[in-house]
Amino acid sequence: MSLLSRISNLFSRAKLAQEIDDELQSHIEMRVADNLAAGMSHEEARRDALLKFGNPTVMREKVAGVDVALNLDIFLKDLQYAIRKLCKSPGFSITVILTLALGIGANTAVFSIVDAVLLRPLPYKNADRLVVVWQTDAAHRGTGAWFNSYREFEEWQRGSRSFEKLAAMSWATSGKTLLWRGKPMSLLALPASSDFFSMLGAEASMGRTFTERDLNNPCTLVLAYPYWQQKLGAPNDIVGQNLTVDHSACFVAGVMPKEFTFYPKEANAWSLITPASAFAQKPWDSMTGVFGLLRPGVTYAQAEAELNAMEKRVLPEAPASLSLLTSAMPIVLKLQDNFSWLTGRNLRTGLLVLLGAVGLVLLMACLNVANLMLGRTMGQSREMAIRTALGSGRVRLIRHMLTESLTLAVCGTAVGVFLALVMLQWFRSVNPVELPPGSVISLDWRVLLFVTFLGVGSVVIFGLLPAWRASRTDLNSVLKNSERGIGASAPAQRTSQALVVMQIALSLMLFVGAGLLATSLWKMASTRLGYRTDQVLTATINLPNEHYPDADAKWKFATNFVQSISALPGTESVAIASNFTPMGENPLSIEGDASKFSTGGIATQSISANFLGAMQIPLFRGRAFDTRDQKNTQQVAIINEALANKYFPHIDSIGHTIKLSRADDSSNPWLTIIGVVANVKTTTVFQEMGYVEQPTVYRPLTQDPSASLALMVITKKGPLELVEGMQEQLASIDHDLVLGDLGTMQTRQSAALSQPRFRAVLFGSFAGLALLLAVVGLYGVLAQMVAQRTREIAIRMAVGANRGTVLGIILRKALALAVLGTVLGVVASAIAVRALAGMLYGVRAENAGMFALASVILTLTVLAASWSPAWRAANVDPIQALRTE
Amino acid sequence: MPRTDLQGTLDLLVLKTLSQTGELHGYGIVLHIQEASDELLRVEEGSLYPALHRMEQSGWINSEWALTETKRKAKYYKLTAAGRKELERAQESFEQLVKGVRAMLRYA
Repeated sequence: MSLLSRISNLFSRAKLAQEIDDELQSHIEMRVADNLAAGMSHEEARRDALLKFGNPTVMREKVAGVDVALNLDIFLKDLQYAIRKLCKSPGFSITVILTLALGIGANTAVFSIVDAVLLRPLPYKNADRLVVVWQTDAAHRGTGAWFNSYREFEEWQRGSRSFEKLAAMSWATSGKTLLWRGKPMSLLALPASSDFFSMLGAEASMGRTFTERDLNNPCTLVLAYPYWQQKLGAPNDIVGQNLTVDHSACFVAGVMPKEFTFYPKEANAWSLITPASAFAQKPWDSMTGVFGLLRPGVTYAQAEAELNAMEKRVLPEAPASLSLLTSAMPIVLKLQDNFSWLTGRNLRTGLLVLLGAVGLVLLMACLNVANLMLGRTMGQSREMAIRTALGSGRVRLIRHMLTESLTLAVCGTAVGVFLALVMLQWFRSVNPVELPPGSVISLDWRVLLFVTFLGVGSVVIFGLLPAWRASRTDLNSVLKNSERGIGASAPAQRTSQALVVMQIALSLMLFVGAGLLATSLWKMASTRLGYRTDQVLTATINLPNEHYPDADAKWKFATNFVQSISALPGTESVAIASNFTPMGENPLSIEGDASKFSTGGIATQSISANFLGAMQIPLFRGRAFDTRDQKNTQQVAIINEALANKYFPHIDSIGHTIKLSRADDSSNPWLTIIGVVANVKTTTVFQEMGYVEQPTVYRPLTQDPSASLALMVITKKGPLELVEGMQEQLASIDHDLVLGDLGTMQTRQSAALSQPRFRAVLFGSFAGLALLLAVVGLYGVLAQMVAQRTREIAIRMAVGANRGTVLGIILRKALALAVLGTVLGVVASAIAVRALAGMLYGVRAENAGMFALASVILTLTVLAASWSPAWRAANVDPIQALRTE
Repeated sequence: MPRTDLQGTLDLLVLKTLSQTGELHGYGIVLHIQEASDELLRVEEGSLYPALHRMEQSGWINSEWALTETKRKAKYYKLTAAGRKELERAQESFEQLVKGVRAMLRYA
């Protein structure tokens, strides 16, 4: 019978019966035909055939009895028996199920995240053709480095043939203030071009997205669902309303659906870029991100070449001050990959490494279970022998054992999936690490397939070996053996021990990894940044242009506000600046020395006079800003050590003049250096695990005011206590302003470390889990060994060995396993740690100290775990043990 | 002592038949055994079928529905590799048995 008919027979007894009938019938018919040919009459032929055949009914029953073995019946009986047996040894069953569940659950959870971020396509139409265009240069090969200028975007949109649609969207904007029902609220509205939503194939859930007609309106908004729901209170009549944003009217065209997200996730709304906006009016000065939908069949290289050619054509029109752009060229990157990169430089690698680590944990879980099963079947060899003697075929035996493994695997997988769901739910609610937009974590078919594969795979790994081994038992020797079921052969013991050695090795790998990541995190978190981070309350304020059109207005507000805040009880000092840390990549010219011109790399920050003091940034030479430095007095600047060392080595920089642009750019003033301060450490966009000390130019806010302000309040009180008072003061000065991004310097720093922290915590958990599994495995093997050698130990003791000797035997064995495992683990780790290269800070991957530490911890744990079986062995009562033989 | 019951002998006969004739249905096997043993062995035909299905279970033979020369549907059986091995083993075991019994009977 072919396999297919066998399978169909499983389910259709009627079909089975029919087939048997057909076969028997055809036999009888053939004999009848032969008889007729030999000359008998019809009756005779029939009678003779039936006589020779025997009773067809009886025969049918007999055949069915044989075939029924194929039937589901036997499988169900096996299942019942397996469940009964497993319930009889609850310790074993629970250990196995939990071990499997932990391995499978952790893997499913991590894989779901990997799937959501890396594998599943973005939730937009034609996601595989969506790309982002950055500017890059040779130094940043392969990644985007800068935004494009709006002028380039206009040119591309007008004439590019590689793209179906091109859209501009920029997140280099400051927040605005929305006046909603009389109260001011912050609103982050990102400028986007008219094709933005149609490029993504995204429709609004209420109202509509941008259309051509909106280009005539001064301001059109499409709101993001979370903002509409949480901040505005989900008003159903919002579409068509005009909102007051920064004192001008903005028309609300629609609200996006709940599931729609794009980078950055903090966007509250998108506002249409119109011909009247700053982008269109000053296209060379406005920087923007560019996104596109490639035409089918166009490669990235082709698109890049075309965009580059078009860009080169218009570049001559650019104003002379934009020297940066000539060396840069456009690069086209896959949108999904870029989302991951924007969310975390090491997000992709980190997730893959985590998947590898959790895979090791699953491997260990399977090895553990394999060992446990091996031990169990060794104890069952007598039962197997009896079954074989009674006539059970080898296939039957294997099937019987596999049913047990299968039951365990199914239970383990089920509990594992449940665990995974719990973990994912926790992940979704706590959100320990940010995921790129468009990553929705769910248990989809890919993940379910993966889980099934894991479950089946684990059955194969830990079920087949013992089953096959059990079916090969030598009947005679096992039945004759008077020892109760313990007929463990040396090879079986060696397998068990080999499995434990592998587990120890794998644990070591995970420990080393966890140690490296944890050390990196600790070092990064405890690095002194060069400015004050404790007890600093932070907030941002955005001053709308309409009410604060010039520097005076901005500065007046700032001084008023600072004064009123300083008067609040509990504030030690208040400082404001353009940002919280120096930022930017500005050019630098030095008066009198044209050779030292730099096209970029200089950070700037505009600060209030007391900023340096409040933030505890030491001044090395010269003086800080003070009341002398006003709008109309000498334009001054303070530089940091890095800049002084690079551009004024070995000389006193005080008194020299510099400019933050090309020397012939008259729109920028020459600045006189009046002081030198210490460096502060900041992070860059391109490297997650590292700090840089950028050359920095500080300017006074009086001379270089900013419309968006970063507020730092030094206070010993808890942040919440002051906030209300601050909001009141702000409202009394200008009731249309609102404090945004409330927090502390510490939470800001902590947030920057969320990715490394996530990795360290997860890796550490896996390492702990692995150690637990290794300990359980080792304990099992040693306990088995002791149980098997009880007789030998008893004899030794009877002949004069003391407890110490016996202890020594066991401990030596454990130590041997530990050492072997450690050596193996060290070798494997040395190769594997390279995967962590980009995620470390302050430690080298090949850190001998880490390897040594992990080895010591493991060996000690192993010895501790072996204490119990060793003790039991030492306490064997020789008389008792020998008597039971 | 190796298995010498009737069941074992029947298995041996069937396996040998199939090795000699290739593919054959149940009725054909009965006729062949009759013929090849010079009419000395007559299998109770019905009892062949439980044996055939049992041997298929053990993986020694495979079955397939096909048409006879007279266009009648019948189930044909064929030897597998495992079956060939089993045939060798059963043959040897049987030879041993015969030798043993003969030696016993000759013993004075």
